[in-house]
Amino acid sequence: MSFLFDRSGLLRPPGAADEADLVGSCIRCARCVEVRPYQSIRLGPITALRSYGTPFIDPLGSPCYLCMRCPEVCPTSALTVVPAVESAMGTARVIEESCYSWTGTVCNQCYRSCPLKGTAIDLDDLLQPVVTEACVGCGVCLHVCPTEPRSIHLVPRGETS
Amino acid sequence: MVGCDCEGDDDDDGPARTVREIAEPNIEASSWHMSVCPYCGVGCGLDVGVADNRVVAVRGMEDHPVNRGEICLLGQNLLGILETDDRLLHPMRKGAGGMEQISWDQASDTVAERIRATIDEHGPDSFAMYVSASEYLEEYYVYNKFVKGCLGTNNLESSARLCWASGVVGLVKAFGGDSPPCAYEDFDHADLFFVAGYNLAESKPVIFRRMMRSRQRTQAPIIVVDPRVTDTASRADLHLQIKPGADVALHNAIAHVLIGEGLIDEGEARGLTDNFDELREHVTSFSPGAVADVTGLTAEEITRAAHMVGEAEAGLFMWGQGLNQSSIGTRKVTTLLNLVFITNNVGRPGAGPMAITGQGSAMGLREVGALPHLLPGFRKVTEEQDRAEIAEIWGVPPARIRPTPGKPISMILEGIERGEIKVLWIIHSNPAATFPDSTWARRVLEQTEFLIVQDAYHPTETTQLADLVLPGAQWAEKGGTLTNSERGLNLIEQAVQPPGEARPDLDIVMDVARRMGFRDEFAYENTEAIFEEYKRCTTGRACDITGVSYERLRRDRGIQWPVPTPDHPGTVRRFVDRDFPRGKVHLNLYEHQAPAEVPDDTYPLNLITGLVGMQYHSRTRTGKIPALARAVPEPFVDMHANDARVAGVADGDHVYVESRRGRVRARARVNETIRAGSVFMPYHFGSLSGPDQAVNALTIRAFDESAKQPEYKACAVRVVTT
Repeated sequence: MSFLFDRSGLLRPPGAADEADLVGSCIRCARCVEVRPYQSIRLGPITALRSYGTPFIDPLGSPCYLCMRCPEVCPTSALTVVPAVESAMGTARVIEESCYSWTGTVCNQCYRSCPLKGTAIDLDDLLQPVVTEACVGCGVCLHVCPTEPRSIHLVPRGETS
Repeated sequence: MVGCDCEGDDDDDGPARTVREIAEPNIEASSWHMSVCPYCGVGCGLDVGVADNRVVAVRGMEDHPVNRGEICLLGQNLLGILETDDRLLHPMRKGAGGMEQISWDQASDTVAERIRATIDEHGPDSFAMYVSASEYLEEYYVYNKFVKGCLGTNNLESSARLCWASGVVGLVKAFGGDSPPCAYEDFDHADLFFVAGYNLAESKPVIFRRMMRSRQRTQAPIIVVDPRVTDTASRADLHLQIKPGADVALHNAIAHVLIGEGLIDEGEARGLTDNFDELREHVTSFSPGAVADVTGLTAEEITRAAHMVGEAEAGLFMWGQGLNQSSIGTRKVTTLLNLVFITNNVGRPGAGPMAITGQGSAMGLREVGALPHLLPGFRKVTEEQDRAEIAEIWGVPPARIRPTPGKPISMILEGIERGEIKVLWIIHSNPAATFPDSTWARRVLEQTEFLIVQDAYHPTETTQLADLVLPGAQWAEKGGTLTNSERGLNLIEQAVQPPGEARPDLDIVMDVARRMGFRDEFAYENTEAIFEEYKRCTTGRACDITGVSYERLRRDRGIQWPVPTPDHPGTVRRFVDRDFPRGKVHLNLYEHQAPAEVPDDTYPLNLITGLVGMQYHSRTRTGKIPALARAVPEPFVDMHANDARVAGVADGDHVYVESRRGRVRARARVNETIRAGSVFMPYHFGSLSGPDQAVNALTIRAFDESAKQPEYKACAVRVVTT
């Protein structure tokens, strides 16, 4: 979880408003937490200051599988119903220096597990994964990546790496 | 043109490979040992690094012809399988208070006495042995000699039954003998890849990458036949998303077009096969239009596939469990081989049927004869001369070897249920999780009068049911030789001592045999002496390895049989000179037949089970490695959106998948990767994975008519919300 708070800010659920609007409009009702089939949504702890009680996702624990249920129950404009392909949570990048498939071990777990399979992560001719513009930053690739540390760098929307 | 000029191809295949070493941090290996990956039948070469009797590093063997340094995710995680909390360290016997540790003396005496007592009282066929398809040649040889030559029963069965029995019976029916003709280097020379019911992207990643490298260079098209949009299918030029089970109709329809449109050379086909005109007549009724309903494919798709097959100069045809694991598996395989033969795709670079097994030693156990109908060197128990030849090498009376085949695992379990088989010895296999209708299989195994389970781990679904468990060594802890799926021999060096009191499986079995009085039969000084005796069984046979020795295998890695003399270079490709066992190859004529259980109103969906790339079989090794397990932590069920709507299921829901035999709780994945009407589940999960997680509780006890392989790809289920 440290990576979320220390470096890159919070990975917000799909359809989330921009950071300031989200923090302002979220009424901390936790309905998004209640519908989560994958237990992916967590609420900011008190140490998160202004983000206290607002929804975020820790992809190392449980990423977003794009079931798209949380925006449906959000009573405010904090989370808006959007198609999964427009959930715009962030962007992933493959760290080729440590990625197995780029360094001699055929792996492809990220490609295989991607909810937007074949579009957000594709494989090149030698089966090496490449993240495309279609990536919405759900974090599944980061979650399943078998290297330690993970060979996926995930940047939440609105943050820069 | 691809397939004509083979020179220089091996080096001309894209960027240099990286050899990745997996090592424990801060520990340097003090010695390195040659090895082969213990998982699939590809047989990637590995170097194993050892320090202080611990495996501390693994790397792909850079100069191994199979993988040239590359490995897959499973090989990458081998360090994690050795020192787990559930390694079986001591012999244990079921007592009043559960499993109780006993000494090796007590354990071996108990096994010897129980086998002796049951054979004396009920005859030799009251005993059976069931072994994995990942053991070494020497082990199979010793098990065979012990069971068939000493005990006098042919009930020696292997888990190869569950994955390649139909494929092998198909090869034998077509070629007249079990001798896979192709080599992996054919991937570099093919100009068409025909992939039937085979997701090699997940099951054989190193070979799949080799195929992609080749395609990158040659643009050779790929046809994939699969009801699922697998990772393999998603790279195909033509994906035929067939209705499950309809492969015979498809193969016959492709033959129909090939012949009807003059896409083949009929003179060549007559010269190669012994019954071309029978096939010609047989497939007249299989026009693409006539099979459109049963296959779920359009006539245009089938015709296009036929044209691609007909136009190829070197077509490589491969198949997997989609064909094999079926109640008509042999029919599916042989009708695919018909296409290979009438297009004359035999004996040339890049051309032929490529049969890569799922388990590492499924080729080797066949040549050693560790199946109920075989003897070493592809001999048959039913042939008097074969029995006499082997009895002489074994030094046992010829009459000791029974002339009738023993039982396949399905009939062993039925024999236990009927009380005919009293003692079953299982070695490194987990049928309580992997046999279909596993609730029944567990019940039967549990009621076995005396169940001996030899394994590296405890508990497994099967060791849980044992009366006696024996700690067997596993990969890196024992040595021997192994034949991979291209007939390539490899030496595996023992790198470390087994943990606790675990022993190499050879020692365990030979110890029991000697205690039963078979001292002369098992007076080997070492593993190499067993290999040398086995070699004598191969002289003059298809699998001739007379020219191979341990010393030679240290140099000539992956040398391919036949190797009749020490100066013979090995045989890359079989049947180059059309030297088929029966003179010509045979075309098999079959009709389509539906699976044993088809969907109906109550159970409206067809269940396909299969693997995922980060797990292996029943997870006894791979399930404990977080890097592998976290991607699929529980069973899932892939459903087409239309079927999900009817069932009221949303993506991500937990559901129950139910069949007439059981139910499994699974996570629904609603997507378009599966043909509507079918659902897919990974087969890796057993009863130890959690409540209602044993996927084989759903599957059906239906078997191929000749190969007796179970039908894991078709049974009727329903999906209900929890």
